[in-house]
Amino acid sequence: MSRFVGRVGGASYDRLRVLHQLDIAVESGHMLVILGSNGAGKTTALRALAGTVATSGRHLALDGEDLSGCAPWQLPAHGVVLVPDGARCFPNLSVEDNLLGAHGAAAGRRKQVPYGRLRDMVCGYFPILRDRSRQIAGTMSGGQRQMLAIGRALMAEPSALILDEPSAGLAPIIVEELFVTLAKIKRETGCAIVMAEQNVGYATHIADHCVVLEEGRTALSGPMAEVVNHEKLRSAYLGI
Amino acid sequence: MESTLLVQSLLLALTTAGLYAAIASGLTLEFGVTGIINFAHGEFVMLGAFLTYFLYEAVGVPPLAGMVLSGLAMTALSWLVFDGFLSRVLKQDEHNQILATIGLSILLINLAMIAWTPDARVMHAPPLLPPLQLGDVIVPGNNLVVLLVGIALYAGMIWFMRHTRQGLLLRLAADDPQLAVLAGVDVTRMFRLSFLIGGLTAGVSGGLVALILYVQPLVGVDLVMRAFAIVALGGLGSIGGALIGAVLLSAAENLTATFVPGGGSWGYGVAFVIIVLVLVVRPTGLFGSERRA
Ligand SMILES: Nc1ncnc2c1ncn2[C@@H]1O[C@H](COP(=O)(O)OP(=O)(O)OP(=O)(O)O)[C@@H](O)[C@H]1O
Ligand SMILES: [Mg+2]
Repeated sequence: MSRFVGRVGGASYDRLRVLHQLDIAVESGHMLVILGSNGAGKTTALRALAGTVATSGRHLALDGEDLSGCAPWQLPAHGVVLVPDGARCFPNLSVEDNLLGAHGAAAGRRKQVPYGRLRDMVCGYFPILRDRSRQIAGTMSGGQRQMLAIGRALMAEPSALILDEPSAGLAPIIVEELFVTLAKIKRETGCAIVMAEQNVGYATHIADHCVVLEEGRTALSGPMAEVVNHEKLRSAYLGI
Repeated sequence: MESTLLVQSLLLALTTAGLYAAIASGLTLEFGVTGIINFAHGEFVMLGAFLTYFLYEAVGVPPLAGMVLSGLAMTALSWLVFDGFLSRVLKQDEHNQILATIGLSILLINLAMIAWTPDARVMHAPPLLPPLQLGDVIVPGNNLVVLLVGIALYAGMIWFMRHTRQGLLLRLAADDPQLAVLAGVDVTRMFRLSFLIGGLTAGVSGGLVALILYVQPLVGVDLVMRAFAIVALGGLGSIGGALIGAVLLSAAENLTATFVPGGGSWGYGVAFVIIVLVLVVRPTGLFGSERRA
């Protein structure tokens, strides 16, 4: 049973403090969703966790192993992968090279599952990646690129998968499909998922825990079911 | 007669194209991965040429072995330069990077002038291969060596980029360094690696220079200007385009030298005309495609 724990103490841009303390803990096979409106600090919080934004008191642990001292590039090899917002890909590389590169880059001290097997698993979740394996990633549609971005993260065999607004800019039907696939991924691979979202409706269906960020502060934190069933909390924080 | 001259000129052009391609692809690799235009690349070639020359003339090391040693020495020097100096300007703006590499270039030229005088030297090694006779046309043996080694360097670089894990990681770092970090790439190490490969190829190319050209402190400036023209032709950051660019440039240069009266000293001019034309007509290079950011 793996458990992903993270804490960031705060983050500022040009001395403007946009994030105060944030604590998260996710069990393997569970999903924690970070909700919050535009500018609430979700992206900043995830970057601070990954170490690409300076923060005070960063603490990161997976299965009791302390990863706080890891540089951002060392995290994938330790099983922690951030998928940044904007469906980013390596735009001039083919889909296949995107996946191959992610597999090669995550090679570390762990024994890796061979590339072919992982790719087949990823293409099982996102069949479009098999059909378009030779397409240059930058020419794909936004939805396809988001699938590639998540597929790339899975090539690192993550124990903790951190997703920044994977639904942004996608048509509702694609969002639904994506979330169904994410639920499947969390069930089948057993990884812990941390996901920033604005899409409250869908998120409540697949998340197990939620944290609501308001202007960089944790306004609410608890099991998803409790929050959804509690009428006051639901209307105050989720607006549904 | 005219046609023999034409064939001879084109064949010689082909052999120098091997050297140009090797120099230009090192330059374009460094730029493609780090975003730094290394104006001192030519000086690494120049130092490699001097080293091969002195190893032969003073110690009697055969030129092929000297070439390998020059490659290794320039790899080591690139490491020093990158870690001690360039890695510190990486995060600064482009102007600072350009000033840094131009400064390094001038420094190395001046040191070479002080140490070895501006005089041109010729390495008096016997040709490494017998000349190749094709009908009326003769290609000197050393030109053949330059073609073979140059193409081998170039092909080796392409192979490394396409078929090794480190090459793949270099491509990730070149395409989106921030995303590469999130994927698990130690981007600083990749930046360094691109300079080590650039230094290796520059040093070996220097050995080739000693085989067919004069060895003197300014030889690198000549060559790097041509490399810029080639890179402009082939597309900045495209190793694949460097070979085509090299063939076109050296053909243009050799034809000018052969058929235009007094054209022998125009090599440089041809390179500049090509740079200007490409920049005006097709800034992504004749064969470069629009890269996605
Ligand atoms: N690089 C930056 N420089 C200065 N301010 C920044 C920077 N990045 C973010 N901010 C500010 O920090 C605050 C939090 O931004 P952040 O991107 O973390 O929000 P978010 O919750 O991810 O929003 P969204 O839902 O729109 O993605 C915002 O007020 C934003 O303007
Ligand atoms: Mg955001």
